Amino acid sequence: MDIRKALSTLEPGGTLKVNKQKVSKWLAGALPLTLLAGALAACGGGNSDSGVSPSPASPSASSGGASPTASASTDPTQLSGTVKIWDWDETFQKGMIPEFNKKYPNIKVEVTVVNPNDYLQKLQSGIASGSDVPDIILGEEAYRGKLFDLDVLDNLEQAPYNFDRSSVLDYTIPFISNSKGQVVAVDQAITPAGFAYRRDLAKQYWGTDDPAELEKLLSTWDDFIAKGTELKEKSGGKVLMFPGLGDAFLVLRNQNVVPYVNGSDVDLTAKLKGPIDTLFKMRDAGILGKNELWTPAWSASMAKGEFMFYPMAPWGPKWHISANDPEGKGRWGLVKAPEAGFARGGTAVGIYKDSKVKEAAWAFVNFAYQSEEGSLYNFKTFGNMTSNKAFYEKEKATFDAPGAYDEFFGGQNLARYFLDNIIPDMKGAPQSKYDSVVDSVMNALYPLWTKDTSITADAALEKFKTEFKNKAPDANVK
Amino acid sequence: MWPYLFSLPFVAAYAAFQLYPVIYSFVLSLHDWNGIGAKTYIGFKNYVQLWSHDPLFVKSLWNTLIMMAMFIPVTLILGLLLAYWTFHLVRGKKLIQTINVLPYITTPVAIGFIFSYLFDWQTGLVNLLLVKFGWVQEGVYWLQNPWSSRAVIALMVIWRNLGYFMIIYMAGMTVIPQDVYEAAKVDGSSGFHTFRKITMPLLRNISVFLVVTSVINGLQLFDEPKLLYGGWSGSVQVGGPDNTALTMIWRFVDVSFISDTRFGYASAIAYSLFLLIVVFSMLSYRLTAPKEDQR
Repeated sequence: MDIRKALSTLEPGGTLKVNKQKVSKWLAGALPLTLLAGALAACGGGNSDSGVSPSPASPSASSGGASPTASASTDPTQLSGTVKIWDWDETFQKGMIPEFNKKYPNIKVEVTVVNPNDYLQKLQSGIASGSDVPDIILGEEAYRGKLFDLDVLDNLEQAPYNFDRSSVLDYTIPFISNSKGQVVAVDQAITPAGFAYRRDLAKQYWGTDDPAELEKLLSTWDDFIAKGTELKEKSGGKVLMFPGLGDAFLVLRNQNVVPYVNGSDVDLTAKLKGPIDTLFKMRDAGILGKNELWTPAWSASMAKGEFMFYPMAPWGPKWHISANDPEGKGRWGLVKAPEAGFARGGTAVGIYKDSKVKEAAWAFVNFAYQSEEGSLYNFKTFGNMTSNKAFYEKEKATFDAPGAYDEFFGGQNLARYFLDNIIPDMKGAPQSKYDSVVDSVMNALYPLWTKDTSITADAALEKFKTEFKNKAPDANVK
Repeated sequence: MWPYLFSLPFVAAYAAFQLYPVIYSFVLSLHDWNGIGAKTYIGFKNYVQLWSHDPLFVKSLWNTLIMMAMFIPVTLILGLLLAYWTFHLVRGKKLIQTINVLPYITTPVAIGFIFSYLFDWQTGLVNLLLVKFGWVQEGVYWLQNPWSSRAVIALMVIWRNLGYFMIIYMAGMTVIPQDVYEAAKVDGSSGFHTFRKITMPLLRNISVFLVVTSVINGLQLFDEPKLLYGGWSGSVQVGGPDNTALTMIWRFVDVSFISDTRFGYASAIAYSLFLLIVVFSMLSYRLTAPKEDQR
């Protein structure tokens, strides 16, 4: 601001009138708050097609006849149009789009890089104002349930997509279905998870670093706690099981896939009582560290060897472990979690229900995340594993061959381990808009449970319910 | 005719980009709307819910007021002292000015980074120093303790705004005529006495301006707490420990974009906040402005 000007109104003897104006001017500055909400809605009444890309010249798009995909499946060159996609992983799209265009030369795919943290907010603003909506929408774990409940994604089992839910791994179906049971997305990649572990520490304190042996040692959570106590004692408290309560809790919560939402009835007891009880047993046994997820200390701990386990899905070797422990080649391993596999992360890819280029959009989604060519490229280049069942039968040899991070994990075949040891007993968790509330309450509470060890499991669950109700007053919480 | 025509661009732009959204968001606050589905008119239910059944909103109001009570007086006093000291510097005045204003022009995200690194429980610099000098056994969990978390946020605001306050006060000091000081000197006043009897009263209007604007800005506190609690990373922690760092705007953002998508309810929060700002800025003006100005 212009200080001199401001001061001239504020000199001794400057009158009240001037000051009042000043105040009201500042009040006007306070308004953007209200404006924000208003601006979002300001064009809400407008038409929604203004920002959508021009209609494709696809011959089959106009009529929506009985078998609209027929031409697409017979001749990919017949499909054309411009498909807009919002993704945070630009590298993936930059690699995948040229592959796609080899088969579909007339479909142009435009990528806008959108941060996953802002994704839903940006999407909602775009839809509410009718300005800018992508044809292909990505739903990351943190907001997937919310996205599905907004009812903006098309049912993929209908024309023109005719997706067949039996073509994907059974456990993934809840992750791609909305609360009505419609399949509204496909998985970007499957995210079965186990634990990455430090081979050197396992060998030193437990006498083995063999995944099969460890699986036996850690078959239940009680075993896990017992082994953790042993580890803590043998190492003199220098090595613990998990870096923090956040890591342990996300495993326990994701293992419990019980449907806990029915309309506005939310059964938090069913979803969280077990996980919180086990979590507090671990905490009270002193086998958990005191790091919050994603903090610098948490990342640094991987290389330091202070903790045995880190929950890890197939995206973990690249983004977590090797990124934070670049010198750690050979000292990591992968083992199944006690009792059951669980899903960690995962992004669902759906199609906007008012898209003008549904067929072209589907052609890309199907190619990139489901087709054999796309899935093969995806696995070989990025290590992403498709949810398509048939692919694993056809490409068995690919998964028997060493993968990009197998060396880093002491020569263990990670893809095979995920497929053969972790996936078979996995179950998917139904998605709900309340998932993100659970997430947000969990993130707020676990640091407190870390700090204040006098909080009991029962008190923690009650606190969780109260916080949940504060954030979701429309829910009937049990 | 001409005057109207000439003022039309501003009036039209104001109506389209300010007045309409303001009115529209009021209309919106009377609805239940998720931004995409149908709008349902529900009268003043949002406001009733907000003021009688939303413990988080009430708590966020208190939190905001508590943090304001922490940082406004401190920034005012330190800003004034710093300005006084800098104003009378013979050498290095420009350097000191620049250094002190730097935080004010630093991007909030960087400030969030710096402070969350400083006050991290396990690896924070502050804790490392405290442990090194043996003042504490184990690091303090600054960001998970209700009062220390608020204090850290207040510290962020103070650190950021101190330079701005200093500049405004210094500008005020420039305006005070030198002959007043000379007259005071002749009458035997010096040092702290001159500061208290001449400088401070003549800067009163500056202080009023700073108090009123910081009350308005303080009620909109959001950047600092949000960024301190991982606004720059993937984890979404809203409200700090037990929501003791939750501010009103944070609540507003949480309701509309993070935990939920209730745009109608969020508009009700925004409107309530607007009314609170009007009330508090009038109050703060009444309390600080000289008597003769209060008409």
